[in-house]
Amino acid sequence: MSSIKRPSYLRIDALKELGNIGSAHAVTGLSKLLKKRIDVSITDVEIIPIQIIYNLFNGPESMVSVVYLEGYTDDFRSMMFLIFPYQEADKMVKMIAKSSGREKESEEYCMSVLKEVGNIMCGCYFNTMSVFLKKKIMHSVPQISRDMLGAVMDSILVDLSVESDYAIVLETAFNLTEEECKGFLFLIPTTETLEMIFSTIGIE
Amino acid sequence: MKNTGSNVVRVMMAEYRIMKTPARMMTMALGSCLGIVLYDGRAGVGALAHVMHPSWKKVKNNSNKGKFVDTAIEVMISEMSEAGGDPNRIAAKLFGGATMFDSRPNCRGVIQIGALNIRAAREVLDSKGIPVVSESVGGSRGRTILFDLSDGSVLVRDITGKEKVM
Repeated sequence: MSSIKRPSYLRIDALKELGNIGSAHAVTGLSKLLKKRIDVSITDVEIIPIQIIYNLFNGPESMVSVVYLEGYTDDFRSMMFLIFPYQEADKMVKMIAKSSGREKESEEYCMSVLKEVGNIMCGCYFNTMSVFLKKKIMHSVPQISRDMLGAVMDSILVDLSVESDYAIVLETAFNLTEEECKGFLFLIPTTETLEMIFSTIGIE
Repeated sequence: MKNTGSNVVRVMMAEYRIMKTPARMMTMALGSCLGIVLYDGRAGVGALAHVMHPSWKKVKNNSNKGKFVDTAIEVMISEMSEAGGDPNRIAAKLFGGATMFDSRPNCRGVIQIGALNIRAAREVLDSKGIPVVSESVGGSRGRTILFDLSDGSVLVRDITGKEKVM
């Protein structure tokens, strides 16, 4: 197995801070949309074998909604996922639908709302990174898949596994305490992107 | 899954296993990945692989044989022969290779990896003279499969809980 070198503690701290700032803005975006209070965990930076991403939930067969985007510029490329357990994604859609006065939602409407939630949150995250890194970071249109976690992730992980069997993952959990609805944001930068981030902020 | 017992061996992503009857193997949540089942009923030898890429040639990080369609089929046939199987009797079944997202912008080269995996598997099996006796491939749904070596049957299940024996 090829491996990624473990970054120094200083580097990990820098990534954590970057993740904290980015995810705080992302969650603020969602909070404004829902007009509700949302708690955010501190961002964890982990180096994990890519298969293990499943273990963050109840195994590969757990039902989830995953919104996937990519942020990119010349020397920046990161994958980003917003993951909700299946029922909680529906709860989120209901919250938004109620506030716009709709009663019943079709599957298509659910997908569209979740994509937009992903668009807003990931957009805020990447915007913050743009400011931080002094680069204009663009992002792709959101893609959504609602299925078994393992099945959704493997089509994404295939890309990563070309380079390495391990990935550096910035993971943030957020929680709408009153509604018992939680979600996760994952940012997975490529190795070159990590190097660029470290040299931009001056950590060698 | 109904038939999940303690004696079921789990094959993880980018792994393969060879076993003899009586045994059961499963692999969970195949998306664009492909589950390849090889079976020699008379010798009671079976193999299951959960592969990610069509070929080792285009991937830098390629030491793991269980990760690629071509290397996994190759190594499974040779290990099945060592375990008493006869390559002329082996039959194959294919599962997975779905497209989980409509399109993947900005990802160079691996957009329809599921379809490429299916094609590669058919080609490699064809070149070895191994018939594909049944398959459940493509589409946009994840699949979990349970391979029972006692009769060579494979139970396929998707997220809706629908089960089918193939």
